[in-house]
Amino acid sequence: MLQSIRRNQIAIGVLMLAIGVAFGIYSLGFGSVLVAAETWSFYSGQLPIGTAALLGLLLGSLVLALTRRGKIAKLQSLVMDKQAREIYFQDRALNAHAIVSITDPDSKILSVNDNFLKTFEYERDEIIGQTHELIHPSPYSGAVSVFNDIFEAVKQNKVWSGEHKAITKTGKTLFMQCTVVPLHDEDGNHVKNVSMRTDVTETRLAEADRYLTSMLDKLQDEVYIYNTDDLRISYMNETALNRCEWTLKLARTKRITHTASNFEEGLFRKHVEPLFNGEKESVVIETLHDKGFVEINTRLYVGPDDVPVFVSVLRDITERKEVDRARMESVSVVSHELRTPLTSIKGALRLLQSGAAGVLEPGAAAIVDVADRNSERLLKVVNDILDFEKIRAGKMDINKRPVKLSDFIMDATTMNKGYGDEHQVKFVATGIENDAFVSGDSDRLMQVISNLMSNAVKYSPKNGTVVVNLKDTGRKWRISVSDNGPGIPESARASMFDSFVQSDPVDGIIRKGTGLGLPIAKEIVERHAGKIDFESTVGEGSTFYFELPKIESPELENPKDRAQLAAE
Amino acid sequence: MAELQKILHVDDDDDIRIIAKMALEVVGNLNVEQCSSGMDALEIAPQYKPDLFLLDVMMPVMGGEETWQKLRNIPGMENVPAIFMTAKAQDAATGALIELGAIAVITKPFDPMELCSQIRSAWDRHQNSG
Repeated sequence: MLQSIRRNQIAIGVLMLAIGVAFGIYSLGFGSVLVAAETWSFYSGQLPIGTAALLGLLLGSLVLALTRRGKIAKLQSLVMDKQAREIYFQDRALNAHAIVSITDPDSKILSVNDNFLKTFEYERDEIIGQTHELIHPSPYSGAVSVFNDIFEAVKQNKVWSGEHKAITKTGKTLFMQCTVVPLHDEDGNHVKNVSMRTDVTETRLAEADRYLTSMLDKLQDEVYIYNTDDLRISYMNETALNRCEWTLKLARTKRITHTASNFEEGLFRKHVEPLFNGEKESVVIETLHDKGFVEINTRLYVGPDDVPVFVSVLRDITERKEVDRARMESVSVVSHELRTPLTSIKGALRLLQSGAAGVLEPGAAAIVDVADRNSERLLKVVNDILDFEKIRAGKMDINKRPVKLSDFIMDATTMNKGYGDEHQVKFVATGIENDAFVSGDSDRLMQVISNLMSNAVKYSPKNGTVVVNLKDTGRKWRISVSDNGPGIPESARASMFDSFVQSDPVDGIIRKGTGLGLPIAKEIVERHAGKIDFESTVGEGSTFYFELPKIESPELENPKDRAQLAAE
Repeated sequence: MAELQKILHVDDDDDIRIIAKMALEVVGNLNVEQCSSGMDALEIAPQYKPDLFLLDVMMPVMGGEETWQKLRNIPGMENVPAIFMTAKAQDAATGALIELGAIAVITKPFDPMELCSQIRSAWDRHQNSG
């Protein structure tokens, strides 16, 4: 019986142990088997099997509980690690990608990431403690600033999201895609704001580019962009493509020389020269194109890849030319109609003065002089208006030939002597050099110097002297005309060469004139690649001068030239 | 060198003809025949046989240029030089007339006291250049 009970006990113990071991194995794996085995070998001789089995079960359960907790902890730490890592990576990604700044509720900046500093060009210590107002451009008057807009939103616990303009420390304008999130603590107090920005300037610029390009395409003028070296085309707008009947793809295989049948590369290169030496920002040429008159305005730009390009805008001016032509035609007719009777009047008066039509009584001669002076004045007005119209229509021709300045100045003093005598003013020429030559239209240049001389006479005191001086200024000859008149106040300088302007004289005496003399003179001098200007001291007098580029003394091989010079 | 004696002056403006006649005859001591149109000039020229034509540019019906071209077609008139007078002050037009072979272009208003010497110096230059 005892035997059978003991056998039963053993059986139960073994069963219990087995269950315990199973649990142990289940929960502990190989380790608990060993423990169970040792427990078994240790107690099997002394403890009753049932107790041993119970102990095994207990131990198994204990081990099971312990290992479960360990496993949960381990699992928990694993999960925590993963989350932390994820946050860390998210943080890094965000930091790498976005411009992040954290402020207190009053928008004072507490911290910023490196991107923020890099983008807005600040050092960290320059920005900490400041507000975001620093990166917001001041709004147009009346507009609500984005800064205030954001400030109000986060105060009301709202997330602000939108695009805004920002400026960097050096004043660069950027476009920002921005989200600002207000953060609250457990008690609901607003503690921080986190701002995340992305620089979308490039995108916006690209959009603006597309917009501009589409506008360029719709322009009535033709637009060409091409390389300065090989004149290869990189862009033509739609208008230009339509005229050439090309696609943009085809155009990119062509050179600018292919856009017109009469394109001469040599002439073009010469035409654009002033763009390279900084003499001019743009060069303009009017030419007869395949389809009529066009005006071509060319500029030099440096493209995005540091490659210099020409940008040419071609405008159809056929209509304008027609208007100009009609206008010049009518001016020409009016001029003819005015000059023809003036020819008879002046001719008659000159013949009377000279005595060719009989000697005049002194009283009659004085009256004839008055009539002659005024017919001369009328002619001057007609000529000035005609010249002015010519300049406006771009029709003033300059026929350049070598001009010997010593002869030129002598001729000018002779020509204007009569006018000087009338006002009791004499001319003195100084600094005359025999070997001084310029290339110019002597008639037009005579107009310039005569204008300066007659002005000087007009403003000279009685018995005054007007000095005409020739001076070598290096690359140019300067011809100056000085008077001892009332002088010109500095305030009149700006409008001195404007049309129809006669500055208020300091001495209050109004002189006769059309107010066109100086603007015409300026145009003529500039057409000779020269410049005209003046110096003046109120109460002492004025010096007007013009400078013309020097040329070498000309070899007059051509008899036609010699004849022309003789005629001049 | 041939001496300048006879001038055929063509101008449609009566008053200018009066001034020019006095300038050339009284001041310049030249022999002058005048016409008021190109057509008249073509008739008179073969009989008068001038040394020089003095032609107004802008005339109705037949302008100065056309008149000269027709005058040059008259036998014996081929080498008679021409001087033009113009009240149209367009530089390009002046250049074009010189290109056509005019020996001078005088702009109106002209100075009657200088007209003759202007014409004579152009004449002399023309004679010297052959």
